[in-house]
Amino acid sequence: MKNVRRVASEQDYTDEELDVFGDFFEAARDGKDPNMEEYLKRVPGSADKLRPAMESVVRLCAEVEQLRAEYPNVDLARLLDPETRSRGG
Amino acid sequence: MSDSELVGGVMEGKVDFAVLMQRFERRVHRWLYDLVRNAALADEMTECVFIRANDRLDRFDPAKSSFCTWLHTIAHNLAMSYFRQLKHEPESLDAMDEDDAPTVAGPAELYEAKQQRTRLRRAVRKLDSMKRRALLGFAVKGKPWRVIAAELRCTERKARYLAMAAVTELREKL
Repeated sequence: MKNVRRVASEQDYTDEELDVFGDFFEAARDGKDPNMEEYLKRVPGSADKLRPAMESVVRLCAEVEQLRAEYPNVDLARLLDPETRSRGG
Repeated sequence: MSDSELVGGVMEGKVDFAVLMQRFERRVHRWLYDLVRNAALADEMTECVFIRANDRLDRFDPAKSSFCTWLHTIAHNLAMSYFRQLKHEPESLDAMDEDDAPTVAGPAELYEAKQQRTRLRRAVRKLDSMKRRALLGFAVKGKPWRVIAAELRCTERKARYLAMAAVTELREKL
């Protein structure tokens, strides 16, 4: 039988899981070097579910930092968002 | 010997730290290379990670996290410090400690780094509009979830979910 992977939806996550993800993302974005395991402790049993997304957040924030260093005078949102560029703002 | 047995052995002084380093060195190097895209710099940073780990081993608590996660945190903090230094003091690299100074990347590494940036940009642009706006609004523009939710005319919960779906999709594409 063909193995079909189900795409996750919003209903697959509890409010607590999304809160923890949001708080972790905010701390990583703001350069606070958050401890992933500490955040995961807030949602016992959800560590395996959230860890991959949190690891991606860490990597993404590092990439954004690096892009900022590479292009100090460029509006990154404009660089990355084709809609913003086509709207001219 | 399992990771935890090995770490326990080092902490008790029964196993040499070099054995622990040998087991995790390639992993740490791969994480750092993924972030800095410069093999020589990743080499130096990997060495730094293990020097710090060795100095602070008594602070490692196996009840709080795995050794792998602990090392990952040290590596991540080191890379973030490097990026912050690059961002805020690009003119003062000469003033950095010799041990912290980055090595100039070769043409192949610069090309690979550029390719990586290009892949990221393409992947972000291919996200659907709602996911991209949630992600860029939060990660790049620094807006709070409340504002993003208002702009997207959705709940804060939905805004967080869209950002999570976006980073998950990027992880798969990169």
